[in-house]
Amino acid sequence: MIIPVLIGVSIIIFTLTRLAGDPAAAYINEKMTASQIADVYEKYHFNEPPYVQYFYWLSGIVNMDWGWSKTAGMPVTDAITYYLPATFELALASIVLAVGIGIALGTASAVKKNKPFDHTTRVVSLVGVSIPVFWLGLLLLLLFYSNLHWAPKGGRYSDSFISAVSAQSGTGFLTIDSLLMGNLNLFADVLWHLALPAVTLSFASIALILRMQRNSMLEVLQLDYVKTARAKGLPENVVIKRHARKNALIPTTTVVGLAFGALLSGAVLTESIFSWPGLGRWSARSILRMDTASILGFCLLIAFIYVIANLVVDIMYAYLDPRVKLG
Amino acid sequence: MEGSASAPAAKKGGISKKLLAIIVVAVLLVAAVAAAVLLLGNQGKAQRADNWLDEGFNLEIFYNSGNTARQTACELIKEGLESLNPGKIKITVTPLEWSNYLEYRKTGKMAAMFLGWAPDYADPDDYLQPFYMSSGTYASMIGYANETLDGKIAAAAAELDADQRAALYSEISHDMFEECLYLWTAQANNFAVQKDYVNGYYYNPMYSNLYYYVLSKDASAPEPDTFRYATIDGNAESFDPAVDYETVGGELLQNVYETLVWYDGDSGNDLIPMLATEVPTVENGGISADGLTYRFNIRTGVEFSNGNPLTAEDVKYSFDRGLMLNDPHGPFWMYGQVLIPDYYNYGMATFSTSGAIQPEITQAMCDAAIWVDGNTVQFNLTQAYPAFLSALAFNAGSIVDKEYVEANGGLTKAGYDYMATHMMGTGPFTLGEVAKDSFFKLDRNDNYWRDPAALAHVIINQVPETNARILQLQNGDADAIYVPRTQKTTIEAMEGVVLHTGLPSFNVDFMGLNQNLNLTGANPDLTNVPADFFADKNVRLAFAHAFNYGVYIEQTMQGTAIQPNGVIPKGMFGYDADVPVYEYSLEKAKEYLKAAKTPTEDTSSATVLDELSAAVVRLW
Repeated sequence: MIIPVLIGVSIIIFTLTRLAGDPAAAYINEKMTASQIADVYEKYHFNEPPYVQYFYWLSGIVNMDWGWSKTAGMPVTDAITYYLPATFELALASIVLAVGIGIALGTASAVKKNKPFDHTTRVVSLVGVSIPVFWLGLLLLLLFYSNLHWAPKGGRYSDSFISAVSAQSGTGFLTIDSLLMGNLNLFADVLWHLALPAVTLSFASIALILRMQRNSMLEVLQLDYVKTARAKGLPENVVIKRHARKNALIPTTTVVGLAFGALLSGAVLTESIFSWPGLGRWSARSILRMDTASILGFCLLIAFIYVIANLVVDIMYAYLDPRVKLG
Repeated sequence: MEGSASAPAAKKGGISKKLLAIIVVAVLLVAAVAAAVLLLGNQGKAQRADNWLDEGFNLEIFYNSGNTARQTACELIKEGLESLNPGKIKITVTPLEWSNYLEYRKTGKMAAMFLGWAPDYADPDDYLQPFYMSSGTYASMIGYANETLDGKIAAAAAELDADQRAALYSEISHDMFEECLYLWTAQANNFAVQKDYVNGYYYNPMYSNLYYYVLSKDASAPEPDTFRYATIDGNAESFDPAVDYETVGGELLQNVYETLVWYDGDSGNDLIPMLATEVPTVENGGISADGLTYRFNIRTGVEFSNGNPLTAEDVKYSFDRGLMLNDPHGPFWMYGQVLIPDYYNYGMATFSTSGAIQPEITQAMCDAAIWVDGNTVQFNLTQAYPAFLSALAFNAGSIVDKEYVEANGGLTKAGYDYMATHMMGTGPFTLGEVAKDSFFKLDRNDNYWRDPAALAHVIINQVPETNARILQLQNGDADAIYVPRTQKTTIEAMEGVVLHTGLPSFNVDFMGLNQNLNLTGANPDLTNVPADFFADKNVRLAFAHAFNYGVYIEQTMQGTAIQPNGVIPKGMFGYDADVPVYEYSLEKAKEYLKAAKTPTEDTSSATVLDELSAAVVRLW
């Protein structure tokens, strides 16, 4: 399934970028002469019909030559390997927070339906989805960095680790790299830098997961087998945790999968506020300067991530729902 | 005979009466029709006034979406013009995506173009060429060509006597004020925000941001030998002086590399010797009397940061390399145009599959242009060009270490790629660690030939969010930040922070009026002016007087700019303070628009056809 989906996506995004405007714009500046501009068209095949351009691009993709990212100042493939780990760490940290808090609160909220706890969490979750992330991020930065001095100024690590990080060519996942280097101070520093942006980014997902989990939990709690479990005299704790929650997780898993995919595509605002060198900032700037090679590479990557995320969700179903079997 | 004669006479008389009546009626009818036609015709004529003020017009103008300054400019010109004859003059302001904006500009569909110009080198010729030479970028964009003016610009560019030269520029400036091809909307002032413990700052309009060699911090400041600058997003396109042509890389280049001559303190015009022992002049014999050869004695005792000594060979190699690579996106045209005969016939070097360079500008051509004799380097120009010295001060004139470049690939694809990510200069700093979208680090060059820099480290952090940068400045995590002018009041209210402003940059914002408008596909409801609407000087002058410069400068730049009096910015050689500015005066605008005559010949049928075909094109 992956290959046809990716080819379909590539045709759509390629067509869209060609419809959006002249792809040569990224290579032309206000000081170039007419003949230099003509050279640009020739060099990048912008003179040729779109399907020929698509062929050039696709054969490049296959040969791992995804073009040159003007925005990043390096090949698109290098840009992805550079930006993806930063985004992945951030997305992973925030999805872990979101899943942990969202499912716990959602479950508890369903159990205590219409009690003060339920009302409070519902209000909080409503606020969570409603707060603009740039406002929340700035507020957290103002409070925890500027006023309390608990959080760092932004970025992935402190200036004092610049040489330590630059000296090694690791995976790009600084949590892993720091452990591989055996540098626990750096590991702690990386987690410290991860905290605030992860919290900011997780807020919207917490709200989403919480509401999903609460609703599906409420549904499950009505079902006969839960009544049976209670009638058998099982402790309420076991009924909720073993019987109800596991089945209620199935719809939530779908949401988590998609939310993680969305987080991986980069969070422009969160990354900007916390100076996080991730995919979001790169893609946003690429779009602004009509850097088509970067935009195409980014879109293809995101399509790939979503396909994988859905695959993982399907596998999770098999684990959670005995009726679903792999293969 | 008589009877017979009289009868027919009587008969004749009867007929003639009838005829007379018919004739009279016919004449009356004809007169009535003629009167009606004339009257109606006159009514038609009365509807079409002979001037653009009373006639009114529709015009669509564009800005690139997201550019609020250009949007404000468009709104202001709309406001001014529409007030001249409300209801009859209709200006439509339309945002365009950047790529469409470029497309519209390229195809001449843009009536009024708001743009900005920053100089490559500090010389008026770098302004007059693009704006007024018939072949210039902007002159062709606005459809203007004037051979007499071309001759004057060329003569001024080649004039060796500074006073004579200044006088020529003054004359051109006065002429161009009369000609009114562009509206000069703003010349920005500097706007630098720093902690109050930062010492040594001065503003030079030709610097790419900060020159860290002159900066230091109070001993009592936090980490007094480390300087942190928080700026916006942006990666250097290349670290290679022969290739890079933007300010992010420019800032690094000017701190790591050095040029033969450099700017004297805060002056963008006055040059001091840097890697040369003196600035050549005709008087000291460095420049030949015909202005065609420039000789530089290379400073001895200078080493690159790796310890390699600087030689005249390094100087020649640096220029040969840039000329042979000849990147069209790069800056080397400014040397090529005066060092290589018919420079613009040559393209960029290509690399063979094995990575060997295949230059269009050959080593032999470079050898003819640049000579080395012992410790002396001589440049042989194809034409007298006094601006050459200013061009040498630009980053592209940075001297690279021949031995270092050759050891890392030299003039091959590998060497080209290597130099895009590595630097080895004679400057006060060396390039330290770099992380895309995060930071650039500069470390002090302890092997520097002058006194070493006060700062041991400079970290240029990319912090895209303005408020985050302001918080960093407040908390002392940044010693200086980039702030948009809209935050001026916030900055002024901050304690321990200094705002440096009030000195003119060399950046000029302007609006070009397109004299050869491409009306293909234009909507007549939005634009109904003829293609040569702006060829009428009175129309241009009306526009120039209908623009509220003061409000524009206040709204878009918080007042930190001045209204330029022409293309040559204040502070630059050749600037003439006596040239007036276009004052914002709706009365004058009205007068000029009244004096601008509408086309007289009857083009109604053509217009109908045009409109029909335009409508068909739109429907299509």
